[in-house]
Amino acid sequence: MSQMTPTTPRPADVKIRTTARPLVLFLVTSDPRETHRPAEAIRVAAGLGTWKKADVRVYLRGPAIRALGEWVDDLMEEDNFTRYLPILREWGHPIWVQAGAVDAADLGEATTPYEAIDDVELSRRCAEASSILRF
Amino acid sequence: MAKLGILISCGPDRPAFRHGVQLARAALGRGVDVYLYCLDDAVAGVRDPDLQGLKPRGLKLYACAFGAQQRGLPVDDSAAYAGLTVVSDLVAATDRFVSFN
Repeated sequence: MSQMTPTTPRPADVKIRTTARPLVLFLVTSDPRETHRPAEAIRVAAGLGTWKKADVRVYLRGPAIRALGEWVDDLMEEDNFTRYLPILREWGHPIWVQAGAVDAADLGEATTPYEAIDDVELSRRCAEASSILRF
Repeated sequence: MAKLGILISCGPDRPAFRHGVQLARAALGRGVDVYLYCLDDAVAGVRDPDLQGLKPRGLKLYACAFGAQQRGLPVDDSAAYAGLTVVSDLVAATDRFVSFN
């Protein structure tokens, strides 16, 4: 079941990183209706995290949020979303999305749990990441 | 010896591709062990002369085999064509892993 929760300020001592493994954050900001890059980001995130040598988190911003939608037929390389998002879902961490993004209204029944975070929280989570990959 | 991992995912026509190559060159010049992985559109830049010119200086160059196959690019000895397990290894085994997108 999809879940959207408003951003809740976290105490400074609550860490996103939960293991000693590197934390890799995928920042996906491109429009999946216009470019294959969001689909590639999801493929790479799933492929990277599967080996359990790094913790992987995904943040979708603006039109990239459409990757979580019930209908992805109009997105480029949509097979990547249907094939690899379930892998990310199995990890038990929600996808992070931009709080207040207008594109979230078009998702229908989102296929993957997600958590809306504002830019301040995004900054904090970026600071905890070992590496950031932008697509 | 310090180990640096570099991932480039944009095409060779983009400034970020050049920035990644320049970082690799600078790091090699300072005695750093450099591993560079070309992903997505960057696969088209594997044969870039600037990039190939760093291999004799010690650059370990990898490229996404899936990306090359999708684009109909030859899989030859221009790079070590591999899968995402190599990216996973680089993230875990390097002292710093940076990306240019």
